[in-house]
Amino acid sequence: MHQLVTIDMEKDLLEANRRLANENHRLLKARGIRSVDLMGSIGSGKTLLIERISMLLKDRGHRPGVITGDVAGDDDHKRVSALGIPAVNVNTGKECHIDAHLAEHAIEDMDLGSIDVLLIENVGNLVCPADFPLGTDKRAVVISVTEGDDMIRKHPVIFREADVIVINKSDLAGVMEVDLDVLKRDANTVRPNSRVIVTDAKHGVGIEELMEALGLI
Amino acid sequence: MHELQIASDLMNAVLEAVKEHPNASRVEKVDLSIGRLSFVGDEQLRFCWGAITDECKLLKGCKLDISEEEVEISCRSCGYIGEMDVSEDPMYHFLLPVFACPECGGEVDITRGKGVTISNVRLMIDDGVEG
Repeated sequence: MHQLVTIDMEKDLLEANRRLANENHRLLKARGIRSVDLMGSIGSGKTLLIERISMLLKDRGHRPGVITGDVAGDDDHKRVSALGIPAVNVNTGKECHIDAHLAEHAIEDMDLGSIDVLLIENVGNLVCPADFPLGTDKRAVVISVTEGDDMIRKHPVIFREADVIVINKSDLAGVMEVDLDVLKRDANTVRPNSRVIVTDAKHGVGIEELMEALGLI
Repeated sequence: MHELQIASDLMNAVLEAVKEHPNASRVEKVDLSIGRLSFVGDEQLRFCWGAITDECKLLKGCKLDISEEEVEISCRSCGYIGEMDVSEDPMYHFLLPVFACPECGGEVDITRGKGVTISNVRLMIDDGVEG
């Protein structure tokens, strides 16, 4: 005889990631390490912003460490390491984001005794990372003017997850004929009261303001 | 594009739940809700589910019944709990979700609409009795 049985369950498949993220956060807090997850579009300047922030942190006597996330390769890792900053590379392979589990392993590989700030560069993507918090103190989303003025309203959900919204490459706004006010207005529509910081990482503009918004200084 | 990971987590969760029924011969259907604010596509998920369950005796052919979970927000200032506003901008032909309280404009928390939740699993049990 066969019979049909229904098992009732309320299981959220994204919950496991959130639980791991909370564990990551507890671990970093216990070691007195402040942390930021830098999400953003491909080529928006995340790595250069991290380089700038790291060097300014060093100048101020802090000890930054960086986790660089990419689908493949170690280009970003080499750049950050060349500055004498402890760095751990994460290749996600088939996945389009770092999740809390990958972050946990990268944190294990980092010498936590030698850092007091952890910057995580997520995979360039304005969609998937939104579903996967890593357990950092702050999350920021970076876009740049070269992607056009419609990036925020095309990807509203990830900006809701952002404590800080960064608009980079402001020096190119004129050439690209992009109105920064449109981007700022969209940021305020999807995330009212958000902190929007305009930067020009190439020339070091707006970096300290960004660090302050991220609670790093 | 993280449906493969979600499908794999789903498979593990269903197999774990079915362990309590050692006589289960087949899982017929899994009911799942996907929040409107999560980035999981139902068609892609069905495709990945079909691919990874194909070699599994218990799960082969198991139907995924997917419903959409609506968004609910709760206001930190005035206590509003309910639907989220959507801003229509005819200039851009976009419908933008607005993450602010529709009553007072205050900051809101999203209380529903971000999860990928299994609500129940229906399975066929073979009780060994002829009939």
